[in-house]
Amino acid sequence: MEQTTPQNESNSWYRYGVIFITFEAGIAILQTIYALYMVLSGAGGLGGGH
Amino acid sequence: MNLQHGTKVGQLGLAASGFLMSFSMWFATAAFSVAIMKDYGLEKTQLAILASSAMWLQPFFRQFAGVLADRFGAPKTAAIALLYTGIFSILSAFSRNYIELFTTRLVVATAGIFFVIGIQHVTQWFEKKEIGLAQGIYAGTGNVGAGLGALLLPRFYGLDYRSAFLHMGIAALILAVVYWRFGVAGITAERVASTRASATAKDTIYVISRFSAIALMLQYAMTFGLEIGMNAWLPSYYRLAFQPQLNALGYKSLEALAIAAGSLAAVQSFNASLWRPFSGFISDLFLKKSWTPWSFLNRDDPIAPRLHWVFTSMLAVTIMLLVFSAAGLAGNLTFSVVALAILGFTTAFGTGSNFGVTPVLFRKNPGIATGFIGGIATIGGVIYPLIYGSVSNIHIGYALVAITMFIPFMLLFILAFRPGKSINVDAGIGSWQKIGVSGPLAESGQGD
Repeated sequence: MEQTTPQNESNSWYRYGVIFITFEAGIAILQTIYALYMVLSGAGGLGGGH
Repeated sequence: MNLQHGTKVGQLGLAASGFLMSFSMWFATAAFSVAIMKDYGLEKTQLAILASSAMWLQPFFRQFAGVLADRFGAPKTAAIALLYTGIFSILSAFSRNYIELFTTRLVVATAGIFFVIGIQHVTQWFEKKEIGLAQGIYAGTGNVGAGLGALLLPRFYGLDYRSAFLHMGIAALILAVVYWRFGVAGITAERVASTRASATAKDTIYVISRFSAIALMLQYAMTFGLEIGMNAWLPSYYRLAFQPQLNALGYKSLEALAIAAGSLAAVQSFNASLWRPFSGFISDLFLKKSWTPWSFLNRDDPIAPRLHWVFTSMLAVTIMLLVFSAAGLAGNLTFSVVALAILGFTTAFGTGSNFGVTPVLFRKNPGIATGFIGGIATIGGVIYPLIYGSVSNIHIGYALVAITMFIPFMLLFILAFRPGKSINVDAGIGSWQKIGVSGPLAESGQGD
């Protein structure tokens, strides 16, 4: 069976692709932290400010 | 081999950009649900109908788009999709009443068909060994368009949804021109020609009547269908269900509430989209380690470990949807956001795991299978918001969906991929001889 194992991939784009999806996962984490910050502090967005 | 001009990374970037734009337009209505509700005095049920309407035309249009992409190539199909959705987005900006707004946005929402066009485009450019990552980048980047819309549109435009719809329509028209000018249908002319000839009506009927295809479609309905249903519904949910808590935090004006609700809703979309590529990596890991934790599923087929990962994700999504319901019932906004983040995370695993299996199991007709599974599954996105909005307690809908729909879907999945020497991918309604296709799917050697 053909596997999509990054370590066997020789094309240079693949390495950058893995870096890119890691970066995307980082964005997801940051957005979640930001939303939690909003609901815990009332800051962020408009009108909050406690 | 007749190589085409263009680079694979360039074509991937084009496909992902088109998908991002389309997804942003698809769910822009939801991002402004607070403002639309205020302008037209909508009730909770009407909001749920507006939310679900974004998915109404998806099932049919997606199948249709897949066939057109095979027939005429993805670039032309994509450019036309961006063109007409862009025009209707501009028209929606000038709507004079709710009926006109609803109708034009219904057409704009067909932008979601871009998923199938882009998948076809990427498949035409990448080889099997690199397709997992390429599809992951494409789907993950494009899907987050919904979250970006929920997060950014109310910030940039406040309650002025008309300007937003106008500007997005213009952007879509520009992208349509770029796609038409720079898009290339496939890496080689031979591949493009072969795809054009591969899909017949009999093949389509045969594939969509296989139990394994139906089981995977239902799995995608409970993951991707859930994701898009939530994209459309969550801004309204947080606005309606947690208004006292948001007011107490200082979000009191309609604009502030819209921004806060959109930011919280985006948690689901960001996690469900951006973790999706990692699901393919875990699918590879299940295969590499031969992990088959579930005794009631097939353990002997070469592809079995990947199916065990698919089922694991189904279980996780069902549990997290119940937890999300519980968080709402507890009235705890922080708990709700944490549960939503984990729900999004598990949803990503569900969507990503499916496309680690589907192209392999249906190697003979991947386009047809993708169109069916990715298209019909969007019906989930129509049904779920209607259920959420129809129950008397706004928090109960999630648990209701999990118990009455997701548990039966899992049981069907177990039946389709039950223990045995190998997965009978050809099991279904009618044999291949009776339907008249050239040969069984198993001939293409699934799981090899």
